[in-house]
Amino acid sequence: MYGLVNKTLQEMIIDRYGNAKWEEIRKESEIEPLFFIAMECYPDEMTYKLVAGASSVLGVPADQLIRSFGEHWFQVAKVGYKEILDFAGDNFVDFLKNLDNMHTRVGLIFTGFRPPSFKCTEVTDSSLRLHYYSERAGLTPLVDGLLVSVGKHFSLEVDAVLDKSRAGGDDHDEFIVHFRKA
Amino acid sequence: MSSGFGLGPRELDSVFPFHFVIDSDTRVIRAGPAIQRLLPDFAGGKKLDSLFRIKRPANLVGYREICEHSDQLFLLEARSLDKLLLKGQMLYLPHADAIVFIGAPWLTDSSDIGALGLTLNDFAIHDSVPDYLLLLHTLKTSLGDAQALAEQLNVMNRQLEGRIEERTQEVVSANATLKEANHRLLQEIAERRRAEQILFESESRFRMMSDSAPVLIWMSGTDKLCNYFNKGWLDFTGRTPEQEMGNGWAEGVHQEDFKRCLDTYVSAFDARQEFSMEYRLRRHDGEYRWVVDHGVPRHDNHGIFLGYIGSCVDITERKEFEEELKRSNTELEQFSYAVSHDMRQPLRMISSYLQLLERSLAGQLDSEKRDYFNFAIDGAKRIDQMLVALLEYSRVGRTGEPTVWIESRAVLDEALQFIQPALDEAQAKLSISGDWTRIFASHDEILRLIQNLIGNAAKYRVAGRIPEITVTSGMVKNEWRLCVADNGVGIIPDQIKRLFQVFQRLQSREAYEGTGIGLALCRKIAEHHKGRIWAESAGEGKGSKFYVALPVSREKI
Repeated sequence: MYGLVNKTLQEMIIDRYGNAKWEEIRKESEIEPLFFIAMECYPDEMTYKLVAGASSVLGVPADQLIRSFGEHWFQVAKVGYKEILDFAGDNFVDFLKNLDNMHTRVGLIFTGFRPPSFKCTEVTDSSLRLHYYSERAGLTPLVDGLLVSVGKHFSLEVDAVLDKSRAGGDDHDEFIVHFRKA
Repeated sequence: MSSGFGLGPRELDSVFPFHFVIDSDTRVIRAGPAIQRLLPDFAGGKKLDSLFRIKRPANLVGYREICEHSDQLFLLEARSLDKLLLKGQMLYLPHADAIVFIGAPWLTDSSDIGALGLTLNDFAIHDSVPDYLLLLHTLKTSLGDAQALAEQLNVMNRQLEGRIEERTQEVVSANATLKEANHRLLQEIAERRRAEQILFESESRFRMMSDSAPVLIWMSGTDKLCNYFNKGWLDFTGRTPEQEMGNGWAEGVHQEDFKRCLDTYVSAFDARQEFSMEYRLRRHDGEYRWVVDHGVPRHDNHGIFLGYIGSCVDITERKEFEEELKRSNTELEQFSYAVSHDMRQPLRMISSYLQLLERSLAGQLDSEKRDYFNFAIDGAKRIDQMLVALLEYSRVGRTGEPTVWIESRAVLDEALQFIQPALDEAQAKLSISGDWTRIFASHDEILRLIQNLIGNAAKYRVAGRIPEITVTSGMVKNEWRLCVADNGVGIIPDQIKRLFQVFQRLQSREAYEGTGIGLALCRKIAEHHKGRIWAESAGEGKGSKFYVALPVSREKI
């Protein structure tokens, strides 16, 4: 996992719970680095440990934490990666359609990125089906949070329902996404 | 191979969204969707030159020149859209006598995406410009990260340097403190060694002096037990230090003296007071010898009580002498009393018969013989007065009057009542001052003492000088001190010693009436109370001061 993910998680925890809690979580998770380099590749295990440690220290279920992280992730990206997000599309559907292109292109640039893959089908004016493929387990709630946050970015209310999931025995996750003007 | 793979307009738009075509007059006759979206005024057959400035190759003018440079990389700068720079190639199409530009925007900063309003959909899928833009942005982000990290490292470095500086100062300060403490420690060690040396020398000196002193010396600790005896003691008792240590020494004390001795020691010890006691101590030959033992409390430099040190002197011979003297004095006093008492009877006879004889021969005596009679009668009277005084003198301490607590001021007032006529006659000025305390004494004897001293002050006055008498009382240490001062005849200094002896007179009887016993009586009274009496005078005619000092204690006299 790229350091950007761990770094954003660290910033979210410090913002919401303070430095002391972060230090507690870092010790609980047995994580050595004091800070993360955004474009440095870190073992996935470190991110999973951080999530588990934060869940234990903060008393928040891991799924809820990951979903919050998904929302937070997009808010952070809006500040630091505004041009890229704008480049990805000027409306909700285009944005989701280009998600896979963007991840593919990023994957070409950064070796070892192992980006997820997205596909939009059954697109209408108010809904679509989002297919989510990932080598990593447990990050489905992140997509859920991300969808809500992207919807807000385009001034839409978004309801994403997980229709199919790897946890339920399917080979990938599928969200039925409904959106309407907020 | 067929050349029929020519792209139709839709395919051309899809794979080259930034293409455009110009005719031989350099007018734009077609443009891709991205160009049309970015430059709405592109349509309408405008000339290329009005839309773009050809930056590279330089100085190209006209259709033919463009054709001739179709093997070159073209850079076109949009005239109506700042920052839009197209990079591509000009391809001559002979069948249409037209030139097609195939290319894409060239961006040097990811922020240009927003400035131009480009989206991913503007680019052909195969185009690597979006990848390049992502790379640019990543580079920017990484640089930002690196700068943030560098700043963070700088802050941490500064904090670390600050902490190092603090720690260095602490270490320097601690070193200085340590050095100072070490220096003090060395000084203390040196001082302690010096003190130990001094103590050692002092102890050696003490033991040498103690062992060579002709007295018996002992020391005890705060537990009252003796822990040191000098050589003199051990030689005297003939016992070993081990036998004498603790309370062992008490085995040598005479049984009759032991309890008194122990009581004196314990009570003085508990009060941390000096003491002196006499007792009999068994000598090495078994004989009990009287010793006077004088003990004083010991303290260290800080005043902390350490115990007692005492010294004993063999007073057996003195004691025997005192006993003998006492016996002799008693006999002498009894003799004096008997003589003076028994002599008064025949003296009165002599005096009475002389007076009878004088009366019966009154008409036959001439003045000279009458004087003889008067001298004889007067002499007899004086002998009687002297005998009375001598009787009084010998009675001091023999009357059996008890010693009690008496108010010294009350006794003074009583004495003044007796001698008031004499004071009036002498027109004496009397002043009384000081603290008049209670004293433990014989009332009659103190009364007599005061009477005598004030009476003398009035009597031995200088003719023509009004007597001024000052009587002062007060405590000096543990003594009650009385002073009677006058402005009378005074005393020649070398005569002062004779003043207090019996029948010694410094003034002629003709000038001052008296028996010569008064001050001797005062001395005896003072000594009977274990006190002292003395006189001071600046000389003849310069007045006198008589002092009496009595111990204020309930000691039996």
